[in-house]
Amino acid sequence: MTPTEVVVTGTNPGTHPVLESWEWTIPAYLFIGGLVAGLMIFGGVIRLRAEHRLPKAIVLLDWLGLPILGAGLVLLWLDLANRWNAWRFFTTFRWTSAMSWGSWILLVTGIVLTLRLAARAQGAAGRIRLLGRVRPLLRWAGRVVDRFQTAVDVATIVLGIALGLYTGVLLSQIAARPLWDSAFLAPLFLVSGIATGGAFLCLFLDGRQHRLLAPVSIGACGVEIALLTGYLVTAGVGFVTGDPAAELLLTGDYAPAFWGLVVGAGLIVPLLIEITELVRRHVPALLARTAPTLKLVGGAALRFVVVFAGLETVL
Amino acid sequence: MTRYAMAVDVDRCLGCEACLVACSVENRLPLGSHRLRIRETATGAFPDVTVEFRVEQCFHCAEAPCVGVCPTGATFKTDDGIVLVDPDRCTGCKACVTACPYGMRYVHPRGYVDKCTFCEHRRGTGRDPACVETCPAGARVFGDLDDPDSPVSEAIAAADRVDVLFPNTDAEPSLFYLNARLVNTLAETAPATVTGGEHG
Repeated sequence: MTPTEVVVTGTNPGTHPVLESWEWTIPAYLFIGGLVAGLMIFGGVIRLRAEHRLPKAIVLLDWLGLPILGAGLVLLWLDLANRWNAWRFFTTFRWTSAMSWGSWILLVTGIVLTLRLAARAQGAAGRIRLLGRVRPLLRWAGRVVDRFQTAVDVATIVLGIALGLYTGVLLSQIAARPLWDSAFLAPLFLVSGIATGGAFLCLFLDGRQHRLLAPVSIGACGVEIALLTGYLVTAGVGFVTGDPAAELLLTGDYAPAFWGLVVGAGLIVPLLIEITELVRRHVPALLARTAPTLKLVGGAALRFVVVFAGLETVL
Repeated sequence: MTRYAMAVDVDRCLGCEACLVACSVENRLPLGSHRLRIRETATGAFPDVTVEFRVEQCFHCAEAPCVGVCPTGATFKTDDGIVLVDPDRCTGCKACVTACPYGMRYVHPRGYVDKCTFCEHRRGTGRDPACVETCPAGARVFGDLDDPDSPVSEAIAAADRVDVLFPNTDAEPSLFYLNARLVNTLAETAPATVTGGEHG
């Protein structure tokens, strides 16, 4: 091999030789966005189907949807280098920019979740003094949600799907990073969001309700494994460094986190626990709680691994 | 239609870094920030050694990926093909930094994304960009790519070999390397010694 020496002068911090433009706040936000998307899809579908055996799922969506999304938005805002210019996102719509689509999806999602939270808070207005002052507003929100219940639920599901997909498109739009350049990334993040949203709900449900969600949860795991396989096969295709990009996950620095947390802890182990639970109809409570917890860990790890490994890949 | 472009005759480049310094001074860049980068590659074993300097800056791509991903329109393309950033509209979301296949954008300490402008503020004064004006070897030329009599068009026509960096990106960069031997031939991920702080 010919010896080669390279000296680079004139670099900027965080851009060379490895790009570090996005820090932990972005994958954390992508995880939270996916989680909220999953909650919205579950909550919307459960209410539309009038599934009375799972009332807690809708209550959780209504109470927690907005605060969790808000936490994600704070992370997103913290990542901006010019935070006081954040309002600029809402002065224009640029159809070529996934981030612009995301800004408007987040805005409409925030409005729908606020409406749902306000309608839910109506019932608590008598008990919480602070809410009493805004009771007319809450009553109005409650009337809107009651009157347009089906439309609100359909909007919740559609926005949930849009939110889940957008978190993947945000990365897959960037062709300069071979590891992100895959059409599988958006559906993968959506299905992973549904799985983590379901897992989050399972943490609050009893054994009987848990079993109702198990088939959906198992299905989501199966689809996620298929999409993950498709993603690994296609990531970086068409680019000269395509293979090294995928190798970064499979055998490189990110392999332990990818195989251990994303695949093992996040997919395989929960899948085995849930299948056992479905077949034997009973597993110890601790084990039943372990599966959703691992899924949440795996969902978060997926975003962290894909974002950070992707930043390291160059054309 | 005007399409501004730059060409660097790699055969002439001395690696003196005068362009790097001129750019920093002309654009009053803060200490430690750079719009230009110089990659010195030495390959081979004595006595068959090849050394080449590759200057890198915003490539003002015809199909600039950074323009499409910008959510606020802060990054835009002028009618004469120059990609610019409006600091007042920039949120510092870094989508463009991530999307640039050349890694030529950085976050200015004031919170907006910064990069080479081909010294856009000099347009209309008849002066070339500072890096072109200051190059002691005359390795850099600038002009209108659509004008066959412009310095850049003539230099490209006269060159034995013309390259663009990473042609597989389909970005159609407007910075051309003339008479280069190592451009696109070595892995970009080759271990590099980075020296970034001495100019500013």
